[in-house]
Amino acid sequence: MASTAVSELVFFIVTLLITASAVAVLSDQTFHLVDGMKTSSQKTSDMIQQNFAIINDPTQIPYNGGYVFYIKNTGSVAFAFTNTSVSVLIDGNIVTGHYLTFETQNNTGVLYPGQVGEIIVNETLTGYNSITVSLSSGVSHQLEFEV
Amino acid sequence: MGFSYTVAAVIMLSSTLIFFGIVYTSYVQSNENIANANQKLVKNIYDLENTRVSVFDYYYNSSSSYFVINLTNNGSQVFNMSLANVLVNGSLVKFNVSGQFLFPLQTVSITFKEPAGTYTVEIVMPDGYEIFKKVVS
Repeated sequence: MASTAVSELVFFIVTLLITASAVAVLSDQTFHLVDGMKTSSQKTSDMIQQNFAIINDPTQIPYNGGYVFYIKNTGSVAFAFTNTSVSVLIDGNIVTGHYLTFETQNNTGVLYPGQVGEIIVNETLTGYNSITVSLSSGVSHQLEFEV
Repeated sequence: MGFSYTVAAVIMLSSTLIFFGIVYTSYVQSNENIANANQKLVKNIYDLENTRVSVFDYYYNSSSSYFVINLTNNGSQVFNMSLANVLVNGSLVKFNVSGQFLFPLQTVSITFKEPAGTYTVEIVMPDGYEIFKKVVS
């Protein structure tokens, strides 16, 4: 009789332990899923709200240590404006390193809605060209211009 | 034995319900975030499509070397002119504006200093709408 009670107790504890581990695994997976959903929706929402315009006069690109391109944040959220977060292509060729300088107000490296930042491309250009600017979120705009 | 299984089943079922609730709430919030972002995007596109701002007239004040350009808003949007930009011959310049906001059917004056001459002026509204005008002193 006593041994039956003990074995019942052991079964009960073992069942509880197994259930607790199953719940722990389930809980971990749930929080992973929730975290993934939050991050993904935040990224998608940022991407949808990010927008910019290249506001240069295409026939008069200013030159100040390189050709200066003005980028205006016309979206609803700020975005990083540095050479690691923004890609620049001139006539389809990517421009990197010391050929490219990014300038923002107060040198924050972030372009807030309504602000204008500068991309200075230190390359030799003649005639008709095109510049493509792409943000890390994939938002991209192109401008055909003449120098 | 039967009691243990019942307890295990109850714990598993209730925790599954709780976790489902957590996942569902997160799903609804995520969906709402994306829906709000989409709504803002649609509004921005709508605003840009309905932007009708034009240069009404301009003149040059030779005594102070100021160009004054009058802009009229014939659209339905309201613009915060402190977020507008002016480019003269392709370069950004500092400018003054007669009012902070440009309401529908209203006119504001944009003033910038340049020596007498002919210039290409580009006015960029906060939504990215561009107005080009050649001005002669």
